Amino acid sequence: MKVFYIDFLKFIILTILIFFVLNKFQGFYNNEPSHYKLQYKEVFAPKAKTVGIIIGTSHHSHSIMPSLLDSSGIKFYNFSLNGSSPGFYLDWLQEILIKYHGVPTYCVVGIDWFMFDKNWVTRSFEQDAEYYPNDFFIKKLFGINEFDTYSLLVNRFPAIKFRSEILKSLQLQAGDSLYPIAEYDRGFIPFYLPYAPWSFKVPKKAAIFNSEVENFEKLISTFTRLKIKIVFVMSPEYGISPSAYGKMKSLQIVEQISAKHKIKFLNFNTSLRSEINDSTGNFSDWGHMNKKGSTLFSKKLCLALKKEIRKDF
Amino acid sequence: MLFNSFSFVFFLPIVFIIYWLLDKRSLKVQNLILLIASYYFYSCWDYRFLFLLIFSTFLDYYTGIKISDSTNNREKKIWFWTSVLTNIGFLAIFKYFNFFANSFKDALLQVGLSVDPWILNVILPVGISFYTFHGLSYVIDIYKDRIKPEIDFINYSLFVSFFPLLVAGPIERANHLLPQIIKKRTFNYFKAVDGLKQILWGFFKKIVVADNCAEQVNLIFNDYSNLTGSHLALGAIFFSFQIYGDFSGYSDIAQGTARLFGIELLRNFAFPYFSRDVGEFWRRWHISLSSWFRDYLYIPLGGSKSSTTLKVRNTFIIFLVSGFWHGANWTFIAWGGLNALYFLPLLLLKKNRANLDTVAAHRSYPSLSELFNMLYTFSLITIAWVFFRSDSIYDAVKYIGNMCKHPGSFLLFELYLLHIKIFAAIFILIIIEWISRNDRYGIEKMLIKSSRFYKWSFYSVLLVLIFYMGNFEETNFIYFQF
Repeated sequence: MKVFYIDFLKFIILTILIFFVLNKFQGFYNNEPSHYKLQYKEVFAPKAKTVGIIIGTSHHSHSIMPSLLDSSGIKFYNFSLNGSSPGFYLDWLQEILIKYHGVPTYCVVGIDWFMFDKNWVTRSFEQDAEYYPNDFFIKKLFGINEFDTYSLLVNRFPAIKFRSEILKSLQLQAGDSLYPIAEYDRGFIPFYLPYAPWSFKVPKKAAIFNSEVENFEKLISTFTRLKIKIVFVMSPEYGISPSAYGKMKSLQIVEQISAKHKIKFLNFNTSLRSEINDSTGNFSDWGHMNKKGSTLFSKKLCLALKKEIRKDF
Repeated sequence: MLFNSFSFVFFLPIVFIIYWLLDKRSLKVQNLILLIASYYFYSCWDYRFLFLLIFSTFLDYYTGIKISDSTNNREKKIWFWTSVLTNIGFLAIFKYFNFFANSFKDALLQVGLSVDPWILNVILPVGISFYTFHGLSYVIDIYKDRIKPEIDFINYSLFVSFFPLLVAGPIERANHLLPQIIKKRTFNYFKAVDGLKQILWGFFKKIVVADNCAEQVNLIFNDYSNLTGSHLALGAIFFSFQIYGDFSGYSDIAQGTARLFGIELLRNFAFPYFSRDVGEFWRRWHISLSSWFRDYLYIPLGGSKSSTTLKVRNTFIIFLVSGFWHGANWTFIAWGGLNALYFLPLLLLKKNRANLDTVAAHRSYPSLSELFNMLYTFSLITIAWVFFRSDSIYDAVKYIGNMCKHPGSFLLFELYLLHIKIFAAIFILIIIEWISRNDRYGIEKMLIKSSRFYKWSFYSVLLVLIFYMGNFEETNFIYFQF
């Protein structure tokens, strides 16, 4: 009996060891961009006091270069994460930013016309469990009725999270072919997608999920309560006319909230539209800017921040 | 509780540790632990039906004693039929009532009469077909003076309700399982390791083969009218492996689990897809059910020792009843009927027992004729499985019709690429089972002569393989519905 238990224990230890090696391996070789880890490292253990932060979807993490906003007089860090919704940022703000990073003075809130559609912005708080420090992860894991325990666990270990991508991992390619980690700068990372005509075809529609509208309102209220000065920014996109943006219900909602809270809305697709919007040479696809486009846009944004809102932002 | 659920991962070690911690105590304690664990296992599904199980157990236990104590034939018969009719009555009510009511309604509709029959709004108690058959065989054996009744109620209850076999078999016989239950078990290292190995292999078959196949099978069978013949053929082949991986995987887990507690269950599968004819297939597929019907239905009807007409009748009866046992749907009856048709030529030509040994028993590879026969048998069985899987006979016929009408191309590379994981899983299954075809289950004797380190490493790698290739949706075992 004793021998059986010892052998079984050895078997479990050996299996865990194999799992541990595979976990390390898949932690490195997976399709997820490496900059998420750096963004979370910064938010949990900031290297320098950041006065301003940028939040939003991938459209903003690839379009706003914080270093080019420095001349506005505010030092920024881009915390935009792919597929993040207002609901995600509400959790992120309350659970991580305020407690670990500290309250910033300024915040650029990235706006998208699909930001209220849960089918578009699918990122969840639990999804990033892999990047959480141990103590924070354990705290959240045992928190009652806070987050989905199963999802937190599954996303903690790359070997589980990227289980179905083992064959891709075996090709020994980290997820940096599209996102060059060497060019990473304060949360910004260029997006290199080889040109393809079909990637410039704009998807037709996005739905409005009331829960996400409510989350957005709550997010703005939290910013206001914390006395964080905010500005809405919509990064340039390719292939959608200004009039089409005017008809979008999601943007009308954003404008209403902007008016209600007296928040400046810098829309670089309508009122601040420029030649950047009209050249595919500035984009990787219809919604993501490439390095050239993001450099041009960040400079423009810096000017806008200085010119239009410097006094109250 | 499902074998492939997280709760079972906790349940099994807890019961195992308590059971062997108390092995110095009496046999009664051992059996009581297993019985409590079994009732807990069953009540995790629906505790209300536990009462039905206990009632059914008590009925057979009591009637068994009464049959044995009866001093005259009439009394014996009364107790016997009380048990048989009550057992069949339970099955009829819970499993077949709505089927008969709807079939009656459809039949009347054919002659222009419209009725609205009373339908029972009740779910099918899981495992009812299995534990009813346990009880039936016990009572029949006592009635036929083959065995003596078990006096200890706990022992008898454990025979009916032992959790590894409770919900989907194997269908045990009293003369096989009861002697093990009434004998004190002592821990045996080799048996326990063997049990773990069989559980591991069962999980591979269920989680990797069956559940991956199931995903594609559902897609293909739900959209069969819009797909090409090659897709439909692939769907049918995948279902053949799904049902095999699912049910034989369940049986492996059940047998392995029972062995951990020192109990040996009846073998249920013997690599049926390596059969060279349908007769051999049915000696290797769901063995505990086939032998049940053989012993309690086919032989009492005269078996194969009667006239040709009776032989044909008996063959059809056993296959149709076997189909009907699987579920209250005409598709299962058609499946049984089709298998009877496959079997008939073998019976009439007296070739149904031509292949009693294992294929290529003393060789590594099969001969060409053996390979052809295996593929031919597999094709026949796969076509029959279409009826088993389809929602109606109409769907099954249409499915097979479409499979022939628009064949498409079997050489569609993308089709194979799309299902590469499934093909890899099936390939591993076939290779390992072919190597192990003379053993009781796949991996039984793999690396048996190697050092402990290599053996356990192999099991670890297999576990990691299950983790990477598996589908962890906690899907039900197909045979739970029967």
